[in-house]
Amino acid sequence: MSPKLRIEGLQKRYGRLHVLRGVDLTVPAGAVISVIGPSGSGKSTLLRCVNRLEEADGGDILLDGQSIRELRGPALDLVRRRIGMVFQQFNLFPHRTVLDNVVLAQQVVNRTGRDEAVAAATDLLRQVGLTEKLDEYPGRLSGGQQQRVAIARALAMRPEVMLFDEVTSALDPELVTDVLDVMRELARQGMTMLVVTHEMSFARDVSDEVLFMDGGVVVERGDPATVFTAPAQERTARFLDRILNP
Amino acid sequence: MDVFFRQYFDLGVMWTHFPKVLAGFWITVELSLIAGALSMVWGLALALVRGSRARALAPARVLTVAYIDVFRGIPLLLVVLVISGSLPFIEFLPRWVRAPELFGQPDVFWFGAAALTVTYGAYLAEVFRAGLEAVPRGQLEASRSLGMSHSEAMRHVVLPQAVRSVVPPLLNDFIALMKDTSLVQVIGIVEVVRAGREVQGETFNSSALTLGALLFLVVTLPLARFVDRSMARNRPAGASTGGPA
Repeated sequence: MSPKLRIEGLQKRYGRLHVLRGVDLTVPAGAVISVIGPSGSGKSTLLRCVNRLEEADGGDILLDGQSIRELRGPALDLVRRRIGMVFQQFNLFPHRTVLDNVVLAQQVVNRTGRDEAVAAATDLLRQVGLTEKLDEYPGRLSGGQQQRVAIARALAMRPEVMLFDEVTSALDPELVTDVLDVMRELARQGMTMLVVTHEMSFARDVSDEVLFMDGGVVVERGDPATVFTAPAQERTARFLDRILNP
Repeated sequence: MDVFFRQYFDLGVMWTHFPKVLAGFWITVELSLIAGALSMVWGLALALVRGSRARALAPARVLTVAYIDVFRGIPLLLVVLVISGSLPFIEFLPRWVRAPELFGQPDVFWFGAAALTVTYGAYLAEVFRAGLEAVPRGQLEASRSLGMSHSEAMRHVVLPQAVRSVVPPLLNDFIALMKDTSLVQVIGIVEVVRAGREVQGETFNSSALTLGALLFLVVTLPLARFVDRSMARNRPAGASTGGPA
């Protein structure tokens, strides 16, 4: 069986800056892969290349064994529907209520009827614990609540893979737990997840595999227990030491 | 002092000529609303072309920038004269362009509306562009990541936010447009200023123009107040989503 998502030799340059220098990555269906590493290591760029918000300069991206790197127009839109993404800055639609944030794409993209879309959205918002906020506007929510709406919004498209781009980095510390709990539950339900994170506890406890990236390459990868307790690479050890013992 | 009041505030003159001035003001209002609506549509179209990133639209983008520069840089009066003075003689144009007499309005009315649209479209294009650029890039990215096409994302997510944020400057430009309708009198439209001027010519008294000024203020003052208030209201709300920057 081919993996859900496969990245092969991915390259990305911004002018003279070589951000991704041949990254390989396999995400089996139902697996949770966490990517850790210092800022500027290319983690977020990697994620943004997967759903083509950034165009890679080399290598390939395969979803269910099919390359998606050359897709354009409606075919690309269709693939993006299958890959959900949650952003560090939430990017909720400020002019729409919480409920409408989750309803909008269902109606616009899937042509789901309003009633059905509302039912699905209400259900998802209940799962992320926001039943009371349906008619609020995002600006009136805490960061943690906004991020949970963003997760519900992505899930409403029934994606096969979810990308999480440092989704707790913009949150006050006391709000992080609620968001991570939602992600843990999602992982438990068998969602395929690729998670860029600074939350080492999440990476250690929830992931099937952890990748440490630095300087645009994967320096080390392995099961979380090994990477966190006995890293093979000097750079990984130094990074973990700095993060875990500040 | 008496003579001052007689010249500018003669209630008798105002009363006698009120119907004529009011009829002129009605033309002013019609012209403002029609040209205002048309220049909004035109300005938004220009802004969308100018702001697009598609490679195929590159030549159109250049033309748009040139258009905006030109029509912001030349006087409206000149545009009025150029359009009304020569369009009727350009034979290959369809008749409804050379001699438009639509909805019961004479051709000069439509030449005036066209001139205002052409000029104010350029101004409003810049207003809309500012609005579009003020919508954070993440809004488009979030929409695209949900599977929306570029045009779906623009229509449902980016444009509504852009338009909302530029309502105050749009109204400002509408006030300016309304005042500038007085320029189209040179091609024979008896709008409120022309009406007042004709009365002034007959009576050697400016009170009908004062009346015209008052009619303008009835519309422009509340609009200006509304603009001030909505700008004050918009300021603190600013970027309500997105967490710490």
